[in-house]
Amino acid sequence: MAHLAPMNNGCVRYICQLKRLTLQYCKNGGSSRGIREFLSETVAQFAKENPHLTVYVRQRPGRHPRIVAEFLSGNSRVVSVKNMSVEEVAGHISLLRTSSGIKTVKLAKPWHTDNPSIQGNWTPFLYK
Amino acid sequence: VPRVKAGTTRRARHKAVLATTKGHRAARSSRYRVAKESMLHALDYATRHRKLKKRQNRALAITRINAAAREHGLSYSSLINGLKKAEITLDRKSLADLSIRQPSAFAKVVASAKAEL
Repeated sequence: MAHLAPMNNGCVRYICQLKRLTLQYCKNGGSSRGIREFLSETVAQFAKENPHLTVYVRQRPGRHPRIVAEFLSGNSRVVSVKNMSVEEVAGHISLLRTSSGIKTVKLAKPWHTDNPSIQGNWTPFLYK
Repeated sequence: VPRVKAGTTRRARHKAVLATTKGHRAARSSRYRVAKESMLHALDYATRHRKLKKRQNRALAITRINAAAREHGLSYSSLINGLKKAEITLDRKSLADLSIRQPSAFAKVVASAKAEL
C-alpha cells in the first residue's frame, strides 16, 4: 500500500487543496434548515474570501442536504449536513477548506518509515 | 394480517450478505445459502482472531528476541531477568524490532542486562 507522505504544503507556499464545493440542500426539508441559514447568511462572504474556490449551490428537493468537496488531487469527499446547525455546517466547510485532498482510508498500521534501519539490518553473518 | 409480498426486500437482504463474502471461494461468494454460512464463519473467525493476533505477535517477538539473545550468549529468560534487574522497560515488540533493525543497539541492551546478572 502506498504510504501517505506528508505534503510539505505550506513549507514554502501554501496552496489550498480544495477546488470546488457543491452545497446541496432542499428548500423545504427540516434537515436542511441549518444549511439554508448558512446559504442565506454566510456563503456569499465565504465565496468572496476564497476566490480560488468555486462554490456551487444546488437544490435537491426531498433529500437530505450534503456538501460535496472536490480537491486538486481529483479526490472528492461527501459530507452529510443533515440536521446540522449553522455553526456545524460552517465548521465542516472550514474543515474541508483546510484539508489535504487525501482520501480518508483506514491505515493498516499507524506507523511508516522509509528508513527502518539506521545501524544496518541484522544479517546471519553479522556475529559470525 | 394482510398478505405481504416479499417484493424487493429479499434481494436486498441477500445482497447485503453477498457483499460481505467478496473473495470467498467458489459458491461461497455467489450463492446466498452457502454465502450466509461462509459469512457467519468469517465473522466468527474475525472476532476470535483479533484477540489471537495480539498473542501471536507477542510469541513471534519472543522467538525473535530469543534467537537474537542467544547470538550474544544469553537465553531469552536470562535476558528478560537481566532487563528487569537493570530496570529497562523496553517491551518485547521494541526489543524484537531493535534486534532486527538496530543490532548494535540491541547488543548494548544485552550488555546492560548481562551486567546485572
